[in-house]
Amino acid sequence: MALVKQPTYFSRFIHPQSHNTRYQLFLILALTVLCFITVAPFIWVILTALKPNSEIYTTNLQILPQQPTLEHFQTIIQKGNQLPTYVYNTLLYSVVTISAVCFFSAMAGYALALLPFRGAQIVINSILVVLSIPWIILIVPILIFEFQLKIWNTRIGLILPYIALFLPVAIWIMRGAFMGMPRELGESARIDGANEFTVFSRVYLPMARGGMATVILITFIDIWNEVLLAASLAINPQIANINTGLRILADEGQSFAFGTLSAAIIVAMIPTLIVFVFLQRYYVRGISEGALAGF
Amino acid sequence: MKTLKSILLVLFATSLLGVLAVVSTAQDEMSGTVTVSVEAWMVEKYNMVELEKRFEAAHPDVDVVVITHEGLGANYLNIFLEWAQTDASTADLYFGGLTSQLAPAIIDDQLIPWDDTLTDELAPDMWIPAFLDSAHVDGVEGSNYPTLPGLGETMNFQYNKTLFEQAGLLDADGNFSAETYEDLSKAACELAKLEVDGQAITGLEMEYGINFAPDTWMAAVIAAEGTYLKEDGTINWDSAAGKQWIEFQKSIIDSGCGGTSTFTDNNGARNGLKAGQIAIINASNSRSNEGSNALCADKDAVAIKIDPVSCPDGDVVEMFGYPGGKGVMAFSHQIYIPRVAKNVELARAFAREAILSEYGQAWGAIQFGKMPTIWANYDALPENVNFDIVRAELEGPAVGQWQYRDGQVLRQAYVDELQLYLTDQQTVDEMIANLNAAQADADLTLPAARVMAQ
Amino acid sequence: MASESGVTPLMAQPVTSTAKKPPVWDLHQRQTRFAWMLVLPALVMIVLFIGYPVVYSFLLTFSEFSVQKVDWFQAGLSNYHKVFSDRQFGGALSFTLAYTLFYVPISVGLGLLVGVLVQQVKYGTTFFRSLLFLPTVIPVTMGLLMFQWVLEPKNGIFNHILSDVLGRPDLVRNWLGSMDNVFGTMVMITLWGFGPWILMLAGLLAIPKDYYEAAQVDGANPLQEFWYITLPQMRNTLLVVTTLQMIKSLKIFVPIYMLTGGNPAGSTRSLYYLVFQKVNQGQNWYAYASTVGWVFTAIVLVITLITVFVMRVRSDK
Repeated sequence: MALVKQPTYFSRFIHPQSHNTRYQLFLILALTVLCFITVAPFIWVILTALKPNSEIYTTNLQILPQQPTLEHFQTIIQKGNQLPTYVYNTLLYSVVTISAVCFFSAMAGYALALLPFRGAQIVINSILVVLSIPWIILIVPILIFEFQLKIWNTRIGLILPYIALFLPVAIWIMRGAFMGMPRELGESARIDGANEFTVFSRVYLPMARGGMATVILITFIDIWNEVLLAASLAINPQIANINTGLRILADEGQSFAFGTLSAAIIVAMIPTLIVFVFLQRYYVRGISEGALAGF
Repeated sequence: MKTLKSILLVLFATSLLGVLAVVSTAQDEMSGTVTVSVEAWMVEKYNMVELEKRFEAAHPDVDVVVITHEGLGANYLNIFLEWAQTDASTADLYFGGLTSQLAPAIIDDQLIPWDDTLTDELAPDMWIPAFLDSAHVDGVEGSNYPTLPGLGETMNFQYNKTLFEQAGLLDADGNFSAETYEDLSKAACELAKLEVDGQAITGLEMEYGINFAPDTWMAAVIAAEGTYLKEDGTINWDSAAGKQWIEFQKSIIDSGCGGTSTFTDNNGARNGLKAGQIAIINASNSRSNEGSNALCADKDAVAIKIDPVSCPDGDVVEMFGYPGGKGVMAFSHQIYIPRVAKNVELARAFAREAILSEYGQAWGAIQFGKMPTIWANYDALPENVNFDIVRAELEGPAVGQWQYRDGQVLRQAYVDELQLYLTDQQTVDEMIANLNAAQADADLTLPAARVMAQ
Repeated sequence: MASESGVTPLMAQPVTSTAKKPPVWDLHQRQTRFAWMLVLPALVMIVLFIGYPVVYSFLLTFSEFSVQKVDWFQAGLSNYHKVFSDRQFGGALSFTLAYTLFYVPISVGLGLLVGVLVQQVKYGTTFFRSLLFLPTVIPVTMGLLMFQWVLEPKNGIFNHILSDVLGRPDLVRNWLGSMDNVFGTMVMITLWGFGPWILMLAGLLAIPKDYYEAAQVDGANPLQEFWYITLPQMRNTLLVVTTLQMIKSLKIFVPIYMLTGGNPAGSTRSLYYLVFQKVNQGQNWYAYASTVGWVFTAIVLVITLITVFVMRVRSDK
């Protein structure tokens, strides 16, 4: 049995033309410049976090700190568990929402893709329309709805709308993933006497890993970037997410805020980076396998 | 036998009374949890942590929970809606919010009046009228104070004396004051020629954002005409003093003697003053203490301690009032308890013993220039030139913010129209016409007291 | 007795492809029932938190709202009249359209460029990809606050480099606070992260290598490969990405919320931010705010549908 070297996923990255050295040099140069532009704001924030206020707001601005200090980091630590709370809350929102979204979207995506039933087309079309609706017009009715259920300014009061609002995209992706699967597998399973549930859970669901990964990634990043709902529905600092939290910190500092704010940004970035370092590897793969399929 | 019976009866009755007495006095000791919500910046600038500690030390069975809410934006509206729709509130006591922001809750009778608590050290004549008067609502006696002012400030100009000295603009006493707007323009443009460390100085940076722009207009009109309201209680947008103020602002910008950083940055002027980059700003009095602390040559002297008030060499930043001198604009952050609050007793106790205490009010003033609202607490402040300046202002006529239900809408309209004028997109007459139109469209209901709900 | 009967008749028959195949309509019924069961949870959530609010806010546009009660259908079309005569609405519309006009082509172009660069480079691919991934990774408010600080007129590093390091103090500007500069600045800030380069990369990786190998045999250079192979193959991706970017830029909100508040002088007030401002004006303005929101939604829907239609037509050719 000859061992044929199977092309790994990442070998697709390598272009046959890549051996031209001058061309590669140009690419590396261009990418270095772009990376520098991307990273430059971080550098400035790190430098600021190490300067005392008198060097941050001054008529005589220098790039490097003349008298580096850790006082801003000390201020952040003294603020106790404000920052960690914001990060923890956002993680909590992510985990709970994504669990529900994965569950519901896999089910709905499968049904819309592989099960023929009347009403499917209506649901599909309405999902398309729903995707365009800006969330701002939903705020007032949701607010009133939550007041009546007494869940405003609570964690569950933010999670439930999150699940509903992230479901359409997730269903779209999962449907795309399922549509790419062969129908014959299901047919033969049914012929063998499998009921619908088994066809779903034993035959198709295991194949939907790629789509699930994409749903997880996209929803995760979207939750971490969500500003509007969090600012309207979860304003108590104990349940605020990272974006609301950063705004609260900026509000607290008011003027001469950027020393402390820079330190806060750096401290908050650490857990974020740790989490995302894992995701980075799967992001491109997940996107290519899932996201574009539905269109 | 009968005697014995009656003796026993008497003994029994006495001991019952004794037990009752003991129990009732024991119940005077407070217990439970009280949730206090303050604006985010107050945690540091009003030392809520220390106040919480002191209150809990005085009442061991009480647990104080301090949470925060945002000041700018729609937070207050959502909070009021929460009270109305859920018949419950997240906090028992709220501290923070200007009278113009709280008008909807007052109009809708959502707050418990404080009238019956204004006793002893909180009696009405113990308060600074400039602040208490704007918390007063007309109407039925017994519910005239739905809110109480916890800290207050006045609007004037804050200036950097070091830069003034460099430009040779201080008078014989080492101070500056502006009799007319021309004086102010000239000073600003002189200062704009200065350079420090190779960086050009801005002469006069005023407020053009939602934080203070309307208040500066009010202050200018009050100083010139005594009030900004017409006979019918609506805002006198057509006032000559108001127009002069707006045109003055434009002339400063056009001449290059002032900047526009506050178009998008609410803290632009303040940061610049504290960094020594701006000579004059036009905001509330606390900026002077802030600026002095930041610019003080001896940094150690102004580390956050309760005793040092200002630089050993004197304040770097002091204040002067608007030309006109017919009165000042004074605003205050309110303390209030929603009717749906759970722990009203504890909330009132916290307000009286913590927020309105001499320690609480003095601390805010000394560290950050947030002035006390009770004369006794003001008298207890250490010597400081800026405190004296504000005191003189508070002893004269003062007017507060407007308090219509749509008061915030009018504030936003003012900022929008002002920025359009300052960027040459409309004339001043168009601006005034648009403001009148906005006022006609707005709900101008004013707060009025109702009988306290039983 | 039970043990006597033993195996039931049904179980006695082996299940083969010829025996007991359920009739088609039975299967259809089962499938439909199962399908609805699967769809139900998602549907319930969407109806509750999207469907109901959508209908509520739409009906609100014709009504009058106060904290005590809602007067349904009392306002007729008056709210809509107000919207179309509102100066701020026209201003928000022009800013949003202008921003979209600039943002979409530039972000798609940049995304394609960066995607191609990342796909083509052989050395340090992971390193570059990780760094370029950074803007996607950090929460959006963090990035915006960073830029607010970098562009601070007096204390930010950008102006400092211009005036002191490069010696060009005449280039110093109030990037976020002056009318002349704020539009360009907002476009540039939102382009940090180079737009949809990850989606572009995904699309590029899907192109079969054989095409390029064949081209290399024919002696094509990178530029020719790009023009004759990459672009045509990327057509579908480009169409999808352009549509997505268009929807995204029409709904721009967070940068304005964090950085400018719609100012200076309302010049950066997007439609989304305008609705946000109106919603926050007070309870008695909710009906009007919903109306502004719905007009905005209609505009987004129409533009999106037109774009999708045009794209579909072009991709069929």
